[in-house]
Amino acid sequence: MKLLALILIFAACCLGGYCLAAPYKRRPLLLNQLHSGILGLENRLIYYGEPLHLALVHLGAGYDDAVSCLFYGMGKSMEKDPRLSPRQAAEQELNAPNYASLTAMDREILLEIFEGMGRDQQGQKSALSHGRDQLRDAAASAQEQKEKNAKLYQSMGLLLGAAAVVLLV
Amino acid sequence: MSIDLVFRLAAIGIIVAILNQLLTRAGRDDMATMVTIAGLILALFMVMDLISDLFESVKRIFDIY
Repeated sequence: MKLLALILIFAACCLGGYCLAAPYKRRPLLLNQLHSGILGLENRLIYYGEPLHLALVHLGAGYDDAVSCLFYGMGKSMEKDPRLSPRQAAEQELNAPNYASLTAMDREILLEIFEGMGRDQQGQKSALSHGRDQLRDAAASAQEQKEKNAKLYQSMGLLLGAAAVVLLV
Repeated sequence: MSIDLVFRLAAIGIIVAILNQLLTRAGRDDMATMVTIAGLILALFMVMDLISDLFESVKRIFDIY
């Protein structure tokens, strides 16, 4: 019985470490996906000349990741309620748990991109291009943080579990 | 004194040393110091009874009352 309890304590500590490390692992992946999604959106808006809501729905259907949820959800919301601004639609979709690993700064970058979607084509192009640059920088910093923190939290969970077992055994 | 205590102290020492290295390399020197101090306090709590016994023995042997 005691052995089982010790194993459970150790497993719980390890799991805690992995849970703390998970957002650091997920964030660069998500930002890179969003970066490529924004690139696709730029192509559809500027070069194919599609309306924003259709471009979002088509892009969302084409991807198979977190970006698809964001774009598809935004496109559908804007189809249902044409008065909804792209920024408001993005705000609604970014509340989903899929995007919990994004920081407030990442969200602000995305919201600024979609705020720029209400402008003319030149304004859209500059907002998308500026947003892509910001997302690329954010992805690079997220990658640095991942390398620094993800392994740290995993190792700390494991070692604290081991310490608890040593103290309780 | 049980030999288990020695092994336990050794294990805590190893764990604290590894944690200290990890935190220092991650640039969290303040946390590393806190962990080291916490490990030291923990180890002191574990040997507190033995230290008390030692002082009692010294007092008894040298007739210090």
